[in-house]
Amino acid sequence: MLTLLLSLALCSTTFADQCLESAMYESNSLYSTGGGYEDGIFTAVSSSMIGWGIGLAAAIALVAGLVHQSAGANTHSANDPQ
Amino acid sequence: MTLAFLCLAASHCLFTPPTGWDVVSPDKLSGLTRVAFVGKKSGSLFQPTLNLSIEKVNVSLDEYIASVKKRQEAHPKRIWRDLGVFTTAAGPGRLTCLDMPSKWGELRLMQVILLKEETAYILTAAALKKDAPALLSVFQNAFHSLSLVPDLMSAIPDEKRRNMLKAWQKNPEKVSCHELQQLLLNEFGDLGAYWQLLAAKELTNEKPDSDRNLPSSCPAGR
Repeated sequence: MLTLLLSLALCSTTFADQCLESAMYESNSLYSTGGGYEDGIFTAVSSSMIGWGIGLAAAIALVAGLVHQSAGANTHSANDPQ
Repeated sequence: MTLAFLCLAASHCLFTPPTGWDVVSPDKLSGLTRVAFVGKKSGSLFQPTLNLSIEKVNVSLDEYIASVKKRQEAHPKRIWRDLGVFTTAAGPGRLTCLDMPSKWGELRLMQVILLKEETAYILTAAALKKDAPALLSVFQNAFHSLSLVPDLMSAIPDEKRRNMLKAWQKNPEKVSCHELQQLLLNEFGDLGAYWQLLAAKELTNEKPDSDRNLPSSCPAGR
């Protein structure tokens, strides 16, 4: 907020809109920064639930589009080396 | 072929997850998370996990850490610490530690953050706090392996195996999906499960749908 006020005070009225947009953009980007970190935490906790892991062979088939998501999820492959 | 070249020319963030860990089904990943792995079932209700998230940013690493700190300190039951610089294969990153309660017990999450070219790469490892000391070296190895490569081929250390994949790219119609799957599993295990997944995805992007004759040629997942 302080940054926003300072930005506005230093700008002439001609460029006020431009400055306001710039300040809002900076505020928004700082506020939104860290989403990847938060998603990492969320996935780390949620993915630990039992039964969500699939073997590597099945996962390869899945990402390659060789099987449908519903067939690959929660299923261990017969070819799974583990 | 052009598409394959373009895909393989893009840069990739790679890491080596622990051997034998399962892959989390892609539909279970949240927003910016690209891949996740889960440890084998043990006596613990909470299985250890490892995931990679990628975020476009326009801030420095210090600013990113400051933003993360602010967010985490807003949670009264979480204890967040900045553990300082951590060396990865892609250069120096930052290691953080987060302790938080859960229905399984106290969790410990360790995260290494690497920021390159306006992109933050976040590798997150999680385990029950009581299990964390035993898994520390496992997590550290994965963190150290975090690397950025211009293309997947360049991660292959020897010419012989690079040629194997080039042969696939040149004549994808002559090799079945099942053969590619087996090739990646049997010959490229040392590159890690994440590399194997990315390679499978990129190489089969060129494969015509009609050639993905899964039920007969590629029974994996069934």
